[in-house]
Amino acid sequence: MIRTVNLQKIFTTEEIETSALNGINMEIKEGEFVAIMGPSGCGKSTLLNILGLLDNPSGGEYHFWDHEVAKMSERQRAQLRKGSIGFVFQSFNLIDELTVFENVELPLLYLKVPASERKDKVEKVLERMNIMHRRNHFPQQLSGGQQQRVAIARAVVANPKMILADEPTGNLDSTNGEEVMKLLQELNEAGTTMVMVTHSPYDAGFAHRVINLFDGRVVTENIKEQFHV
Amino acid sequence: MLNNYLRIGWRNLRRYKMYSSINIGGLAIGLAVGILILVWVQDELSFDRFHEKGDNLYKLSVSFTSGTDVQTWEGMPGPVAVHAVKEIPGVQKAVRTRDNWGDVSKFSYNNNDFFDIKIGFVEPSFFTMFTFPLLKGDAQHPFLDNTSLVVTRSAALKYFGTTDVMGKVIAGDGKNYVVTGLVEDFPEQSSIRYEFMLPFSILQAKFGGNGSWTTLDDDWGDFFFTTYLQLAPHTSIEKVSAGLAKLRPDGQQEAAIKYNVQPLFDVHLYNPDLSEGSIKIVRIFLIIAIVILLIACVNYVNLSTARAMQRAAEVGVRKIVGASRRQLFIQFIWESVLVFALALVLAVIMILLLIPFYNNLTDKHLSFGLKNLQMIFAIGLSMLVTLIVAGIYPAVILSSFNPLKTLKGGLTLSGSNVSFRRALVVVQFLIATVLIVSTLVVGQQLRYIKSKALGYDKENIFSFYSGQMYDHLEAAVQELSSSPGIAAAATANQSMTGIDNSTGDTYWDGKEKNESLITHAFSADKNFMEMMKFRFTAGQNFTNSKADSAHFIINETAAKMMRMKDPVGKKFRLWNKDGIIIGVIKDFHYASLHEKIGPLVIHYSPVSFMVYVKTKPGEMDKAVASAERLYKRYNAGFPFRYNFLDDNLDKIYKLDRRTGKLFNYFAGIAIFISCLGLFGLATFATGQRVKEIGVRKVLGASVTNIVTLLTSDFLKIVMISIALSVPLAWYIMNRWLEDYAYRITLNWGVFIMAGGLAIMVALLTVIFQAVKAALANPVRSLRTE
Repeated sequence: MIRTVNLQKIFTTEEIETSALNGINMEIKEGEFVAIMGPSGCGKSTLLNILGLLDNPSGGEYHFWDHEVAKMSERQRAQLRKGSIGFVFQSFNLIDELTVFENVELPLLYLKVPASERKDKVEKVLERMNIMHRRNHFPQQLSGGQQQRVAIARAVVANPKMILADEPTGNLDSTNGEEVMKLLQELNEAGTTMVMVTHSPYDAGFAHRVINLFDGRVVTENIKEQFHV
Repeated sequence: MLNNYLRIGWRNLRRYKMYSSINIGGLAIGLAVGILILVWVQDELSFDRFHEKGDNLYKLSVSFTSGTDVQTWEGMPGPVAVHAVKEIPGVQKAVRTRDNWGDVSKFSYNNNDFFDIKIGFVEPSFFTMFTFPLLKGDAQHPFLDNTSLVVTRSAALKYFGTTDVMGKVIAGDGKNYVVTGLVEDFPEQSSIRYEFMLPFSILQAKFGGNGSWTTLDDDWGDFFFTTYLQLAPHTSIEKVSAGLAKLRPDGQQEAAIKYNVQPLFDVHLYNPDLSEGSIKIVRIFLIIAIVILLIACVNYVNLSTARAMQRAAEVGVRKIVGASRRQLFIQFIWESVLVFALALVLAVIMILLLIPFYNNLTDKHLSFGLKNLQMIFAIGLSMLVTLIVAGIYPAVILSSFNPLKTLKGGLTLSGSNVSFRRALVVVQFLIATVLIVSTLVVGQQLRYIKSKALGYDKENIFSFYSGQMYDHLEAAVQELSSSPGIAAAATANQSMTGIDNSTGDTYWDGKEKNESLITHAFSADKNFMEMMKFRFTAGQNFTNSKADSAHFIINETAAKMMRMKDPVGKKFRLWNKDGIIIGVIKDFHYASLHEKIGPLVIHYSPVSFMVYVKTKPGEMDKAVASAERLYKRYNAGFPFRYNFLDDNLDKIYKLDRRTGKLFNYFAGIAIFISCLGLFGLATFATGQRVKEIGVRKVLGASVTNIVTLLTSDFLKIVMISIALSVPLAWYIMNRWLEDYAYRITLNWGVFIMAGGLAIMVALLTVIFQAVKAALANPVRSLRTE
């Protein structure tokens, strides 16, 4: 589904150049659940951003489905991203001024889905996330776990091929964290490809495969049986 | 989608109440004031535009040159219109009009007497050239004979109590007039305004001859008649003007005169000599309207971009879930539309509340309603332009945010954005400072006008027309002088605040062949000269003896223009009256200070129709009562109308005072809106520096240090504005003062004061936020960060 060849990312400021990714080669197959781990500053989030078509690499190749996207413009990437990738963030990133329903509805609006169909889809996903009873509440009125469930609902409502999650449990207590991870697992089992950045070995345990990064390089790759305790 | 945009826009407005009220309030005030000014401007520009043939209608005036002095008269001699139609190609029609100069002083109907009817003598073509539609009567033949009368609809209701007036008879000074026409009321925007119209032929019939000229249509000597021409389309005005210059009585040499052919549409805004008149004020106010709207827009742009940081995360999320830049741009434009719509509603409420006050201020009858197309147009235009100017920039900035940076919180507005915002504040305060300077200068000039010594004694003097007292004036004035409350009484034939009698019919000792003196002239007696306390620089006053009939007193300017070093005793002729100059008086202001003092000749007349009375100090009421008693003895049934010189002087500066007042209001509003913006910016700026302030406080900064730090940034901006405003304000106010022949000189004091005021206002605006931020507990700000 996605494949990178010698992927590089260099951040340049006025005085210094920092190399965040140093030749990443990886492949993620459709339906896989992959966790990316590593210490702070190892390039996890940078990699996730490139995989999510939010950023361009400085060098190398990135094949997303059948497209070589490494040199695409922001506009082209946005077009490709729309509807095919869902995002889940550590800090939820819900829009405070929109209700639960409206937040979840947002991707469908930009995909120009008709109103009745939108309503249908949003309600279904809210039911699935067990948050329907909060549909008219604003994000500040919800607990962290509930907010993350809304964020996941928003990520999946357009039925994307892949979900990218950046430390999805980082701001949650263990009970809520567990709940969120189970949701992600369910989604994966239903066929959605899942790529997750995490610090937590426990969360990584939900993945089929873990890619460990260090200083912008892939140092080890373990499949589930090899590391899960 | 639109629903979503508006919903989130509305929720944002409700959530950030202070930001919303500053933004909407500032815009509403700007829009309300901008619209009010634009409506006034539109009204001024629409004068006389209702005439269907307006494009081809022209008003004539004539300019005389004497040395460097040019005088323009609005009146034309009777024959000009007659010859113009016959002899000048392209002139299709002409109409002559003349106001009522006491020809008919009283109308009586049903035992009611009416005195102040606005009467005009007009030729029949008045109703076919101009668009003053006759509701009843025949536009081709509005008058049957010299007893005919055409009245306007309002006048019919006012004086006859009905519009069914055809054939009704009204007495004018004892003579009967029959109503033969009813005309629609003249629009408010008409430079020609009458209530009653009498046939011009009355004046022709009344003409008593002038030298060898036996009919009004031959009399080239009296410049009495306002004359309008209707030209064929595309006729060259220069050719008509040249044709007019050739019209002169048989045998007369070409004189140094020039006929001005002025489009009717220009009559209201330009002077008769075609120079700019009140169009200047229209232009100034148009600029002020634009400037106020601009300041309001600047506020909006500044506050929106400053707040953009708070919206950054939302932009990031929207982009990540699929929003394109274009969609975000449209979203923010719609939010602007929402803000503008709310501001507009508020502005309309403000306008409704302000309109009576505004009408009073501008002396107009502007109304506000959906039927008023001008108003709708002004609103639509202001709204659209401000929306385009103010809405686009913030939308571009917001929609351009990089989603990654916004979500990481690492987004900062680029240096150019911050500089742009600062530049906008500089522009705002530059405008505000220029307006403060202008207000101060206008105020100074108005005070100067009020306090300037005019060269005569204007205290406690009133005047009135003698009417039928004229036949017994010498005895009456004698009696007046010794009446209760009266210190002195005298007569003259002109108003002291507007001597409009001019003539070029002059001759003097030493006059060169090609020289001429066009001078103001009036008649007076010895007592008048003493009452006014004119200062003689040479010679002496009249003595009220018979010999005075051949005596002239001139002013210094007249002496200078005739190149007389020692005028007393020199021969002088005015019209057909030969005599000698017996005195020279110091120049005095006989018109407004806009006009330069010109040459003036005073000739003696034992009685003139205007009576001047000087009251004893503190006995004004007694003096007026004495004058009224005497007046009524000779003018039974006529109201006694009198004017104090002071009041007359006030009247001639009414427009100046009104302009000054409007300036004060507009400047105040502009400064207020600028401060609203500055307050908003100060709030955001201190909000963004909370952490910095916390760190500084932990490291030992005092409250004063912090306040200085926060205010100095804004003060720098204001100082730059002040520096830039000086040359601009200097230029603008010098241009404005050019309109006054007698004026103050601009001094540094005004600029220092304006600068000080601007700094004070800016400081007051930002210091509240700065002190609040400085007093905040650093532990809290660092923790929340």
